[in-house]
Amino acid sequence: MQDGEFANVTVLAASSEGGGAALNQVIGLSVAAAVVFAALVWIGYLHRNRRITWLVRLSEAFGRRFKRPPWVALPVAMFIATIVCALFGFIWDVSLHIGNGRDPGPLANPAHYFILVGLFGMFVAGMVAVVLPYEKPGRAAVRITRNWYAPVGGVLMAGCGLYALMGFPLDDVWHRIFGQDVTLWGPTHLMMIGGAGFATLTALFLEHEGRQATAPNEQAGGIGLKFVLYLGFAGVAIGMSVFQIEFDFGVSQFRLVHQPMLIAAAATFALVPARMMLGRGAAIAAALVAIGLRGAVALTVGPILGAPINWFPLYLGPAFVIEIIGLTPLIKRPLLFGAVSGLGVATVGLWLESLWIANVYHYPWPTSMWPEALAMAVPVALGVGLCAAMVGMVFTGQRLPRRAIGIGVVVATVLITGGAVANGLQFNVPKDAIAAIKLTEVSNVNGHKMVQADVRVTPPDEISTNPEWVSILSWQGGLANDRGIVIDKLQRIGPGQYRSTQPIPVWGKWKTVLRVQDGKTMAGVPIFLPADPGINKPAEGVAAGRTDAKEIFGARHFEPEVNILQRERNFNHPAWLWTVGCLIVLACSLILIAGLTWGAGRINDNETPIDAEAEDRPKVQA
Amino acid sequence: MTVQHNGAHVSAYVEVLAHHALLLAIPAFFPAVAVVGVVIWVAVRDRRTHDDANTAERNGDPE
Repeated sequence: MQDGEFANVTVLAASSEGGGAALNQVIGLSVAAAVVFAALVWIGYLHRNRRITWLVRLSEAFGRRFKRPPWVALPVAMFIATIVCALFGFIWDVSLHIGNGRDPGPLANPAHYFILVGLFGMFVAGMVAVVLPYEKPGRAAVRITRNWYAPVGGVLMAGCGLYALMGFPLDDVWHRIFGQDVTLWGPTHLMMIGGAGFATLTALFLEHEGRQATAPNEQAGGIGLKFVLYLGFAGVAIGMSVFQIEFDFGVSQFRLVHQPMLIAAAATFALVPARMMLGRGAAIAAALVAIGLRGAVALTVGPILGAPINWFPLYLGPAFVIEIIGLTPLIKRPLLFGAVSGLGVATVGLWLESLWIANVYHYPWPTSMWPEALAMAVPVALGVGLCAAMVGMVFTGQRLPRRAIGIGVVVATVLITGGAVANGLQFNVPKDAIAAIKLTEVSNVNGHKMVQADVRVTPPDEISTNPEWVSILSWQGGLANDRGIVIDKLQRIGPGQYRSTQPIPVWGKWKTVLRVQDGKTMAGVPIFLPADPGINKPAEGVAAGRTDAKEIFGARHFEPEVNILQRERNFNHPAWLWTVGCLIVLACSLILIAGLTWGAGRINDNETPIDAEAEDRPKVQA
Repeated sequence: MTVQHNGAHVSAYVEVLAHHALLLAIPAFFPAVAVVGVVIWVAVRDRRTHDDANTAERNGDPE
């Protein structure tokens, strides 16, 4: 979602060549959006005044098919379609940026359309749930007017969509002030993917409200409905995984120690409620559905569309752990079940997951990383496990703990997670260490210069024998050239001495950088960064301006990778502005979490009392 | 996270590119905000019109 960025020169060129087309696209999109807005309001108006019936008939057809009220079935179906669209656009977008670098223009990147349509569709799905019901949709419903009530799940789904869409204008303001931050973990990017990620939960809230409003004997669906429920939790697993995507492509700009924590949190949050609500085997089933969906997207983006390859966590190890714990009597005590599951996932589950990571990811988890990884993952997963158990309690109609305790657990989990992330973001750049780099040409066809790299780091003991990575990353070289990415873990041939294991590109648009992450040390040395008039930067790096030579030698100090990997970023702003920007985005994110917490509490508060109306109470197991 | 000022002079182009991206942002964001605005307007108008007459509105009855 890093939008296009131009030099004055490029813009002038674009306005005479490609700029007209881009402007047409923008105008077209504006017109489409205005039409969609007018249509939405008009259809909503006609429907609320009972002047059209097709929307009722359509939603009732979906309702009969999925054994749920119309105001659940149609919005959830729309949501599934749009969220898959957004997921595909998101993964494709990230891969295009990794392979190609900056976009030539905001709409020149086809993936952006899928994201835009997906996020907007998500908002519309939520609004459809809000607008559809003529009668009060369940006891928890939110009053809009005297005779118009909206389901909590619909309100929250629309809210998540709005929050994600808000990322677009804020992203623009952000880039205007700070330049491009070419990382997924830019605050406004986190809003867009976080909004979509958390929206998966709102679809399940909506489904629960619909189930509560359905007579028990009409709830049972066939295998199709069961699959949709597994898909719901698979969606939560994928939605919570969006923060890991840089790791999935092997281009993380942050320390590797984040990854196990993120995996443990996502797995616990999705699979604990799945097991609680859908019974034995549900955690594994949800993980398998998630694998299917992520696998299909990865296959489409990589092998089929020719963009960089991405992997994804399987969550089968965590699912297995949760299933085992679910066989014990702990399952009858939800909070304890959640906490123990969190612990199990963050230990045994992560170990099982690490086997998969070691096999397919570029960077396996070194043993030296485990103490810090566990210190981050265990407390986070414990808190997330408690929150997940409360989500599961909402879905199974069990009374939540007292409000103060419930909110306290959510707040504590947010604080613990924030603390763990803050720790993960800490890194040092070695002040005196020097990397001497020798590049030897191995091929040069049509100026496509490929080299072998020999690296000698002094002092030789600067990097331990078990670092997270000592590698050379070449990226943004264009999809036509090896998908625009080469990640080479260097072979250690002696103390402080490393050698590349495959040809490294130092030509054209390629950006090639030596990367080191060893415990808290994280730094890089530019090898080849082409001149970039778009951001007013000359060629940089050891090989800059010397690519004619068969052998190139240069020695450099290490520097923070943000200077190299986020070359487009603009540091010409007061430091406080960055802090204020981050705080605004943080506040928006906390409002989102508060909204979801409110919704869960409201649904649970209005649950049909077990003792008073036992006979009316729907079965909790679908 | 610590970052270093690298002294690049990049202010001249930023305005131009942001203009483009903002155009992308508005069509995505504007309809959503407008729809929410309409719903809130309807809700507020209903409360203003009816709240006086319906102080004892029953929570469970939709109609």
